[in-house]
Amino acid sequence: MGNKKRSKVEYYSNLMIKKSIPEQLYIMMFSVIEFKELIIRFLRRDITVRYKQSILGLLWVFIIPVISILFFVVLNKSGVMNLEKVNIPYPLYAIVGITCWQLFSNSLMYSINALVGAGGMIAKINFPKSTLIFAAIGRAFVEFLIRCVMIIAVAMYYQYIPSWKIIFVPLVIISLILFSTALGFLFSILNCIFRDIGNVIQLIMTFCMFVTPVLYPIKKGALQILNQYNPLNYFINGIRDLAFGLNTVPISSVMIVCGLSVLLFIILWRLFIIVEPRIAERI
Amino acid sequence: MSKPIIIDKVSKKFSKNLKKSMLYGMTDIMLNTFGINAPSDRLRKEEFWAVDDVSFDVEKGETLGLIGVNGSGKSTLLKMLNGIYYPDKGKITINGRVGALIEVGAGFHAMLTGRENIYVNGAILGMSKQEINKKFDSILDFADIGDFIDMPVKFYSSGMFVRLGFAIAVHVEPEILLVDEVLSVGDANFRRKCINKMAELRKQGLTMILVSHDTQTVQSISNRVVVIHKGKMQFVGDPMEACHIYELNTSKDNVGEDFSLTNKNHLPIVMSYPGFSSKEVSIDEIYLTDMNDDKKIVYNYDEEVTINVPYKTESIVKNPVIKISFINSSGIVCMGSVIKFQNIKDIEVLPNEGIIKIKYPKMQLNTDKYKISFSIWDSFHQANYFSAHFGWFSTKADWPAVISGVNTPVCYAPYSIRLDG
Repeated sequence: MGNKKRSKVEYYSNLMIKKSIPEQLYIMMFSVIEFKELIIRFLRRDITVRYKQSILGLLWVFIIPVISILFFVVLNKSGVMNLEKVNIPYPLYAIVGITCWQLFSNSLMYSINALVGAGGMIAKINFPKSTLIFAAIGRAFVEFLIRCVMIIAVAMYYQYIPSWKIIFVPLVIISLILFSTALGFLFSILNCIFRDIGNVIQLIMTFCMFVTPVLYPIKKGALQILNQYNPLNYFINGIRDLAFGLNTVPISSVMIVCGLSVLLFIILWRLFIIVEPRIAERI
Repeated sequence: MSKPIIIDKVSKKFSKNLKKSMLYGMTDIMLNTFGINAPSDRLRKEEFWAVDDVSFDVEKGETLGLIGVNGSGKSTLLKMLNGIYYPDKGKITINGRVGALIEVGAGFHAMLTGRENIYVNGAILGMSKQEINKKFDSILDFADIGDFIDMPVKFYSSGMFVRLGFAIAVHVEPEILLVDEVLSVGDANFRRKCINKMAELRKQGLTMILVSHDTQTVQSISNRVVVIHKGKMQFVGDPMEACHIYELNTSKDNVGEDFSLTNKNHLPIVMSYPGFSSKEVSIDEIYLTDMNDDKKIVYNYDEEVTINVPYKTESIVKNPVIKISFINSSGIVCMGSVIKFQNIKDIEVLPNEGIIKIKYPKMQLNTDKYKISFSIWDSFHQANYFSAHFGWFSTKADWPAVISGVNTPVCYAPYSIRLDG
């Protein structure tokens, strides 16, 4: 942990688990509140660095989802793949799906690589490592916000009036972010020890995108049964249902998944804080 | 007011094997996940103690040097003081805001400009934006990199990189500063600037731990020095004496595993001439004593020194000639004496066993470390009975300024000689 504004610190083995749960919670909050400036610095640094030495710059945020949606539109039109009909214009359906999916997948991928990427710094400077994870999540969120502009543009093009339930969408998005952060906490630590984790997750993510109703609805077959246990199904369809007044997944299930995400986030954040001292020596 | 740094029986282990390290790391994480203490007080297979049972305190305003040969565990210890690693055994207590220079510019991002890096690195080291804004000009002034501040640091020279890193770190205004071998990178001008800055901070009551291989720097700015060898604390105290022990550690041939503090006041052979002497006289080590007959290895400039040479011979040596000279760290002979025994009435022969005692009432050797070249010849300077260099001992001046170098190339200081035993 950092030493900011704390006059007395003690270091000994298994330090964190010898502390009580309220103390652990205090340290968790402390690492965010006292170091919010650092999180913002990291976030700004990552965004600047990413687009500094590139000509298209921030345009890259749009290029990837647009290309994949165009790909599916073409496949659909040419009859190679038969997508089920949706009750709203397909581009709007797909762009909301892929934007939410990318919020999840980018959050996870950025945070998994955040610790390993900052390895040199972690071994030489003492600061709360969770700031790196929050900065990674922040970066994915900033990209998400930029993509939201694209969604609004598409919605305006189709002159689509959203449902009043859209006011609940931010809650689901926050839960989705907490869910990705939770997984980010877990896998970033594992990735410090086994570098395989990053590659494995990358593979799983590609696979997951096609079994989850991101770009097309899944209404029957084995995949539909599988998706009953897929939290991302509830997040993505939940957001679309609330925004467009559809009725794909039961709203009660969405609420349960959101609640569980918050719980998972707190549990895995605590785990991260407990094993944080071990990161520097194993990275 | 409690002490800034208290280190209490601290140990840290590491694994020699990467795959084992991964396994142990995973086990420890799993155990901690389920709220179980990971076993930290014993070694598992292929683990070793990088730091082993080290305890010392640092007083407020004190500068403590930390020296040791490569791989002795001093950097690990420093990282534990900074909270990067946690000890496996023992406890470290820190009172005060810590600033650490484990590696200058560690948090720099190559793509960002110097200006952007000042803000990022400052934030990592715990400075707020207002704080950095306030000190920005001062940092820039100290780093002395001019217009390059708006250039990505990947185009910086290594000197500029280090200057910027150091400038940020000293502006954190720590109460405790941990410095790890960072001064060796800059040029002479910059080093002087850093040392001046450290002196200025010390005047304001900064406590400092300095890790370095440069014994000159350590001696000139430390109040006390800790010597770490193979993870264990070997010595804590007078800087001169500590550097002396460190020098002994670096000359591996003479100091094996069993080097302990009990024989630290003896000077072993550091160089001999095999085949040169007839070996009729054998001498293993010599020792120096002060006017109270106490063994010491660090002497004041004008202190009385007696050189004690315990010897053994096969036969009695008649009318020997002893040549003794003092060679400084640069290899220059600073003083020498040739002692002819036939001129000394009381002792004309060396009996089978005894101690030759040569007393210098005032040796007057400048601040440096010296080895003693000692040889015994027959009265015609033809046959050599014994010849070797013994090392090392140090001298220091009492006045604040360190005077080094040779005052007179070869001077014959007055001496007296007697035989014991």
